[in-house]
Amino acid sequence: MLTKLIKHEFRATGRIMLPLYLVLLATAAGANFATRRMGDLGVLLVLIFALMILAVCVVSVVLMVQRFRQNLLGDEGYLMLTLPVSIHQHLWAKMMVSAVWFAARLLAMLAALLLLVWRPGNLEQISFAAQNVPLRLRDLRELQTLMLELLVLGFVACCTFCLQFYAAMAAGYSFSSHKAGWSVLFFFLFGTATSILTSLLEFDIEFERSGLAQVHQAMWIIIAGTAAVGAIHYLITAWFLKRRLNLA
Amino acid sequence: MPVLECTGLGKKYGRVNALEGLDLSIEPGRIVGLLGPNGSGKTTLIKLACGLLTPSAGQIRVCGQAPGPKACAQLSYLPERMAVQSWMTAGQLLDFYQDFYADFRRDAAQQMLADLGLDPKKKIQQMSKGSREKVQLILVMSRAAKLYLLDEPIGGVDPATRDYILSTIIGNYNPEAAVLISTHLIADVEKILDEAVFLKEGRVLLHSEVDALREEKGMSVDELFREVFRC
Repeated sequence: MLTKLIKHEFRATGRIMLPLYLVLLATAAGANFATRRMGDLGVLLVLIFALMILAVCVVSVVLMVQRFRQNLLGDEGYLMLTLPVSIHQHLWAKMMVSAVWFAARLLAMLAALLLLVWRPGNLEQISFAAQNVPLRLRDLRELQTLMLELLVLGFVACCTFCLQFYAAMAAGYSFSSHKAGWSVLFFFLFGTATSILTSLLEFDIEFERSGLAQVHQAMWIIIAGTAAVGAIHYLITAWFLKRRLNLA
Repeated sequence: MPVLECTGLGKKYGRVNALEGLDLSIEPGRIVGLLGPNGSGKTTLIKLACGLLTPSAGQIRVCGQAPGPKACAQLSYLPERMAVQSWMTAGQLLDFYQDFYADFRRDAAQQMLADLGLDPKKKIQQMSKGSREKVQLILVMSRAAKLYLLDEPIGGVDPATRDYILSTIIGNYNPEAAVLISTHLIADVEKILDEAVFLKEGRVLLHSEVDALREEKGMSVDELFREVFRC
């Protein structure tokens, strides 16, 4: 059932995100062309490109919030929450799809920036640089490990980011009126509680190793800390959806 | 085994009792009218059966299961609001139901869409209010569920469609399934009901066979309702 939920979530969100990414790439290509050939108009297109970057960032967050609110806490919740699917599956489907769109946003922005600054002859320069970087096998393995850790951290951070909004909305929408207002209040309340809790738990870590090993150790501590914050918000969200659901 | 069983069921909203000590049992093969004035607890009872609310007291079981994913697989619920995603087409909604419900009968749904002249390629948001409600009802009635919970199924449709819906409910008759219809339009549904449940202030005021009720009281269910709940 989780895969089916994910499929439908991609279908619902993809119809907005994919065209947006395509417009971003097209704007980058247009800005590239215009800066090389059209003088002042190029500046205008670069400005539009910057606005598009901003729009992509804002829309992906708004969509994540809106999908949760409308699909589970709004009228659509009458259908979604009576599917033969558990609350946990709903939450994981929403989190995983949002994480994928956040990752896609990063890739689309990188691709767009590359498109913007691309000049003829760049390919030869990249190929020359790649052949002349002195990369040893050990360095490559370290780089792979670091990339993997960054990937895990990215996924955990995305999920925790979504869960902070989900928990606030799940709590806020359990009230009969002023649901949005309560949600905003809970968002700041949970945020403040998390800050206080993490500052209380601050402790000095003595690293046993040095150099890159220390970096890996620090990465896993950050991942564990972020996951713990996410887990608390997950439990709050699941509890409110199971025990205090109050559809309009 | 009853398809719906409530024992000492209670639900409080703050200090207000929406349901209190409700005992009710619905056997398979029955079409039951859940009747009562506004605020009598009809929608609350249906929401509790679907797991959209948690009881404050007592318990409720659907086909022997506590509300949850397993119970939801056995029941087909029509909410009083439009709950389908409006950006989807009717055809995409059939795909959606087919994905999640093993008992969904796509051919029956397609036939009903054709009968009512609804275009499967049209988006829900482009349809009229009545057409949207028809699509939602078609999806719900196209499942081979054990319990159908219909909250105001004929409230927003024209009299001709109303007749079609009622004939669909009868045509869908399955000796293993029960239909619970919550409505204010008693005169319209009375002819298809086997049993009537009168709810008043969260309690069962009356639960009886419709034929026995007519014989005993010498009036229709609609007339009895007007007499019992006279303001």
